[in-house]
Amino acid sequence: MGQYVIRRLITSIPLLLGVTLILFCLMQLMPGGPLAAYTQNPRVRPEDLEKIKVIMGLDKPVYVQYFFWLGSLLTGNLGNSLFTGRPVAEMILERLPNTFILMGSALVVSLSIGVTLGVISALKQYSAFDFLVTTFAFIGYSLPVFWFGVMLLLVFAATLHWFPAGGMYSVGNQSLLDLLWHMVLPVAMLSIVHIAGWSRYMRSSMLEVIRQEFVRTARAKGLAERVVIVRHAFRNALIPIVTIVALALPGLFGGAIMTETIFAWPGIGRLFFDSLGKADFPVLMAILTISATLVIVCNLLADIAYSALDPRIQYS
Amino acid sequence: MVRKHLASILLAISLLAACEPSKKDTAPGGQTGGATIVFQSQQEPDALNTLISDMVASRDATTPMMSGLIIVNDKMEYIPDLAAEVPTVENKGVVLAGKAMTVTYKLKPAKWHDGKPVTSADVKFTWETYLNPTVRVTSRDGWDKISAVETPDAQTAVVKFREVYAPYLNLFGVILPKHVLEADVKTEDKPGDSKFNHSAWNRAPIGSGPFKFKEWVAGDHISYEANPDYFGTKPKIAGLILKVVPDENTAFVQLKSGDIDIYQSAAITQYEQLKALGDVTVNETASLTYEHIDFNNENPLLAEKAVRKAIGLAINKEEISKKIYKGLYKVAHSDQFPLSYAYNPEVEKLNQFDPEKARQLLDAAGWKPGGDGIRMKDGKRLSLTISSTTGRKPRELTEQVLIQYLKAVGIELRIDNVPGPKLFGKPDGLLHSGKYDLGLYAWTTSPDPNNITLWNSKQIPPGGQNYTRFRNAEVDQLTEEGTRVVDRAKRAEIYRRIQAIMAEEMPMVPMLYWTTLDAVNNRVKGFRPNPTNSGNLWNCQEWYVE
Repeated sequence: MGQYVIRRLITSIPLLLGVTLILFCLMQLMPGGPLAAYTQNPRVRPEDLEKIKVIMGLDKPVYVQYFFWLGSLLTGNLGNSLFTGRPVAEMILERLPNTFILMGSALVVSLSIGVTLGVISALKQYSAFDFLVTTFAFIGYSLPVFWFGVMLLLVFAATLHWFPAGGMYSVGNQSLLDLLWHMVLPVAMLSIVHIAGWSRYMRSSMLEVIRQEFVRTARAKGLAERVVIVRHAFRNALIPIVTIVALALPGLFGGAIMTETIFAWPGIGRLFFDSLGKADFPVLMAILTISATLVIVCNLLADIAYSALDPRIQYS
Repeated sequence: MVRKHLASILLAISLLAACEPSKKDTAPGGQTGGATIVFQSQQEPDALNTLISDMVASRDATTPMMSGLIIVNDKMEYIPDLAAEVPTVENKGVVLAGKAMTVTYKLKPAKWHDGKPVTSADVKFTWETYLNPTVRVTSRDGWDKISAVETPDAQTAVVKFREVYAPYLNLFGVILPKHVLEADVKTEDKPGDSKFNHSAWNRAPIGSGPFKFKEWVAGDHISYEANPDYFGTKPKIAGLILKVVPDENTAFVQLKSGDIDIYQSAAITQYEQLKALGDVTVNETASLTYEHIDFNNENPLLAEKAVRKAIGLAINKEEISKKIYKGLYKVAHSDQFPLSYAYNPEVEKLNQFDPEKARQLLDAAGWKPGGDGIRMKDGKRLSLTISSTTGRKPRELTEQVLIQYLKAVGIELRIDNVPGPKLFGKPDGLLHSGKYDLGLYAWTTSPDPNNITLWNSKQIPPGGQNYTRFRNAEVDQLTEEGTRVVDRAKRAEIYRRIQAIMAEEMPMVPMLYWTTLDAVNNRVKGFRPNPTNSGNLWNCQEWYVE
């Protein structure tokens, strides 16, 4: 097992390097690049643009820029933003807790509700409850975020005044209650979509497992129905969900661009989107590289979790 | 069981809803005592430093804290800010000696937010910072015409220009504190990269404006508190808050719910909704930005004046404004803003919508309609393409209408739109490289009429931004003279003449002036939208709450 993990980690190094190289090349293809913002300002003359280019380091060949970036990454330096001039690490760190709070809560809420709904639907297949959950899942999954988010705001913020219209805190109020109050709508928005999807996965996975022979054996042994479902069926049904959840984990870092934009949530998704608009390469590279690393690590975690959930799965 | 859960979910929701801090006793922003006005910004500023950031958000976020020597008010007049008066030739503030020019500024007694006095040394330092090659200044235009700034005493700054520079009042819109920033400017973080570009000051400036910096919560808001030692009109409110609200629908909801007081540059699609809000005033301000159609005058078809004029006459601008821009955008007649002292009202009568005259012009030039109605001459079809930025619905609609207008006079128009950077990019963009026939986009004029970069033939790319590749000896001479003449009446004459030539030669078609919609909660008084680069925050010290 230990050997397996080490081998996986070592093979992921060239993979990551490849990813960063591809990302860096793709960024060069962005029309206009970082200087695009200045070209529409008639007061920025070609000679001004030339000086900005030199200070930003964009006058050097692309491969030199890449190795320079990689070199400083290896020394733990993510570089400075081209536009704010601030260290990228600092910019990410000040947004990270916000994204983590939002995405983490949504993950916990949607996982607990989604899995529960999926299990109950499966156990009561074709019941009224099952149809209700199925209908909800299809509606929830097809809701466009940009529309539904605005509807939530219009109904619950503008009309009913139950919840605030976006933001993370009321200015001057940093209390936990205030934060919770601001979290309700965006967390609901994110959760509804996830619950819809995950309850479907859980339902089908559970349906598959409860028809298998070992479940029948468990029942034949005279175990209580609760024990059969929770210890034998549920545990096995979780395996496909683990993969899906593991792949959702990098989202804890990456955030949700749409939801953060609509609810004016100061998270990493928006930092990424703003930086994309300006082609702020160092910020984009940092966020994408960290995301790629997390995808690789979370996949590995999922594989390890499999063997914990199902002793039949062994790595050697 | 389901019902039981539903009950607890509802209970949880109502509990959370009850978390709402009681709003009655706090002004928006949660401050008690003394009002706070909250204004919205769609983007978060890069830095609170307008030397290195040319974002509108950075300008607005900086304005409450900073002062300049001269600023531009909402009527496009230059008014003194830190300077005691606007230096002109008449009041001897500007002295011309041969080729050179000297401008003398007298400073009002003023203090930085840390209590130190604002002096002429700060004026000199500001100029030096602009010219420092390691500082990431967006534009040194004009600053590089200054040969020296002399400081005979703490309240007097004498700015020496190498040559006469007529738009001198556009400079020194922001004065930097030397005592805070000098070390940063002189230090290089990396070779060629000044510490000023990364300075902590860019996140928490010390300025001399009516409001002091208080707090910047990344991605969320920037707050300011009144500066009781401000040299001008003392602020009437306790504080200001800039709230970053990226989505326009969210901004609308926040305005409706009272979370923000000022929703700047609202989408024109929201016009009716905003008008329907009871306690909100929608300010409609003519913007300095105007839509126009550039002709590539080097294109063999467009090099012919009759073709250019026929296109100009065939376009019903009034109708485009009504049908596409809800009548909010006003018809433009020249490249100068109607409020400008250099505006030529005479050109308004010329080039009125007249498709019949357009046909006559083309007939006279030998362009005869072919079988499909499109005109031909010497075996060449009168067929052109129009390029604009993709993803801008109103422009795409305008192009559809233009196709119809031109078809009616026998000209074929095809659409070739590209993403913004592909249109504007230097050196490969369509405009810069001249790979376009007609270009539909917008320029922003400035309170100063200087337009040499657009119309002088020396400014044809790669050298400048004369994307129409317009060549006219008289315009060349007039645009150059315009930057050297300081006398207002004489300058007005020069630019009026240029506008008349442009109306006659038509190297581009001025289309529509944008209109900015600023929706403001009626509790806010004193808001005077400013279309110039001063921005809407220019008089925030005069804002108050009723």
